[in-house]
Amino acid sequence: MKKIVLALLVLLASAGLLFAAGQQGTAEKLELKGGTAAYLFQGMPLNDIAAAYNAAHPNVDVELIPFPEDWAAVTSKLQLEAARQTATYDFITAGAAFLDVATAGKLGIIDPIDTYLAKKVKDDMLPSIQGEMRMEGKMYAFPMVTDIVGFIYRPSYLQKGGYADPPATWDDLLTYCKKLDQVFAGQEIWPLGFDWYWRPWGGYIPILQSYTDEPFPDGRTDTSSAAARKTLELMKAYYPYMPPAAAGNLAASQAFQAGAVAMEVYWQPQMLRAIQAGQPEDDLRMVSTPKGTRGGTVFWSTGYMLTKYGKDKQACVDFFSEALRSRDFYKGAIANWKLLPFRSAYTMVKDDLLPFFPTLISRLESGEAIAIPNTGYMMAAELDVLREELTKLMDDEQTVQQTMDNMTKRIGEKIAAME
Amino acid sequence: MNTLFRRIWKERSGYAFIAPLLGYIGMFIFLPVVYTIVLSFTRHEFLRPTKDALVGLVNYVEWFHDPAIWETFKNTLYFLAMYIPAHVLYGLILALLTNSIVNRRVATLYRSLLYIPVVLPLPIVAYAWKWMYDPTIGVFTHIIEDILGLSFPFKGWLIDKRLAMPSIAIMSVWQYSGWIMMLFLVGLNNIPNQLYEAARIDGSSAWKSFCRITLPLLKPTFFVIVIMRLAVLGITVQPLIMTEGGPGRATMTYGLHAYYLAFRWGNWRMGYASAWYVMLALFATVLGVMAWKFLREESVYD
Repeated sequence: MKKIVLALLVLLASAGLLFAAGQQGTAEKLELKGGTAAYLFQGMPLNDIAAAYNAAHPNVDVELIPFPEDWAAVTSKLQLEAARQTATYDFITAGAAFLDVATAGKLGIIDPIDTYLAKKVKDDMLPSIQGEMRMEGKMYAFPMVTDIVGFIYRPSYLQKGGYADPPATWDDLLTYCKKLDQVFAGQEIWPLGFDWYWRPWGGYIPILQSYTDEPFPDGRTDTSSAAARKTLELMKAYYPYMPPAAAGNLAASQAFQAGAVAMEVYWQPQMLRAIQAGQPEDDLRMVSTPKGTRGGTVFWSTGYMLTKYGKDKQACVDFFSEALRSRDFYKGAIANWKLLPFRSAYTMVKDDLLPFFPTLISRLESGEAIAIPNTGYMMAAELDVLREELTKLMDDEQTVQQTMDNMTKRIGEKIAAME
Repeated sequence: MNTLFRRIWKERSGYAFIAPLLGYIGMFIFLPVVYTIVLSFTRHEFLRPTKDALVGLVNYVEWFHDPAIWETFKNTLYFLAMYIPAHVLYGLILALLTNSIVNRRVATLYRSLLYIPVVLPLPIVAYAWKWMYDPTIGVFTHIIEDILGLSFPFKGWLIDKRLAMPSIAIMSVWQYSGWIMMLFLVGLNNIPNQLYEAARIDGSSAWKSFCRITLPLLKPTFFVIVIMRLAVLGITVQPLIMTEGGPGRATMTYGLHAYYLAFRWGNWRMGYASAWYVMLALFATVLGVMAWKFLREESVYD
């Protein structure tokens, strides 16, 4: 009996010591939680790079936690936590800097990353993307991947119209549309897909900023200059050559994926989606958007922001700097047809770059591609006004001048109310 | 007060049983309603939180002068004018049809199948119908143009201002008619068979029996449906997902406009949006009282 009791005591003591040792080990490990929009896990090796980082840094345990893409609910949660000076997440995703950085920044629930960012990492970041991440002079997000609006087309469709090359200018595009409309008359193929209704950065802004150096005077989208007029005139002229789906959310891009559209102005993952939808890969090309008086297009980046009351911001930025600039992450991002915000990427994974990437990257590097400013005006004041007034223009309910006047007036009133 | 406490104490076991439900109602229904009402008297802007933002009736005064009220009410009532009669009629037809099936197993199978849309999550149904309505690749246009060989006279289901709201109404009718069918089935099963037998003996036709017996005795069911369907005044999810209030503002309903005020436009004016919701609740209450007064009948089974 005594032996049994003694054995039990030894067993308990050992278990206690082991537990205490485990606790000691756990107590030294820094646990970082990254709230990550659930859609980003699709195809992007985020869990893998977090696991690799944790393996390489035994004192850190980074956990990327998916949350649904309901930004209103997420910001409510973050704001309530900030009021109590706590944070569930040490860092969170910004789906697009101009949408989320602006909102989160206004709420005061994120902190700038400048002081934690090593100079070599900042120097590695493309300058246009550094600017995109800034609000009031400070960088508020660490970029992960970048999307850019380009010009996608089906060479075989263009060849039927006698065109070997894509249109160089927006005016040329109109000529192409007229010719292809005759070529495909009676067939369910439209010359141009242009999701003008879906989001301004898919339609209005790419044209606008190719006709002016200042597409965002005072942080708001230009709706009153000669460039705005030209943009609206072109969009109105293109309208008859678009599928009716263009007047719906993203429906022109779906028509393109169905092979019913010859040319499209949209972002680069659209090519991948068209291929996944069954379109022949060798009959898809992507180039930069046509030119106006200048070249250019619009881009946006997804990234991570530091929550105000999250733990160890330096450790978070160290994770971003290493994991999001690793070869594995770069390869995974490129496999999803995402552009990368760092110069080192284009050296490290040079052989994995898709053939059309260099022309798009050159727009990013040159500064011709621009980002929408982080003022918060786009969603809060401009998006719905632009859509409503464009709808009236397309439906012949008002002229170009009336559209410009209405847009300018209504957006101005909404911004004034915000300020 | 003492009497009240004494009565509660006397019935304490009963209250204990309903306490969890009361707690749920208190936390998830009563408290949010009270908070919304309180918020409606503040100038609370989510993206620009301010202390001491009580502004009294300012939001309500603004509401009365907001031109969007009439447009959004008009759109909402347009939706209701299509939706309520259509899905009551469709639900009634489904109930009559399934009620006439002699084989009980077959009847149960049909009722189950017809009820499935009711239990599907609304956002998923809205997305699915949005795809089906696509003018290029959607199944409805394909059926009309490719299978039936007809010419579709509109730009598209959800992108033509004339058709966008009816398209949303059709989807809503499809989803919830199963529920209306079940309510009518309960009503139909409560009608004594002797009445139909007596009518048959007197030489009444099926149509006459339907008009003179079935419809009048279903009035309590109609009443319940109308009261319960008043919730549709706040329709938000379908236009949010399918059209985002477009084309133009053709499907910008009252509920969707209030939602955008709170979560999309400007600095997310939750105080003002709360006033919108409070006014909607008052309007629904007035409608409900009027419906109660004019449609309610004493039980015909007495």
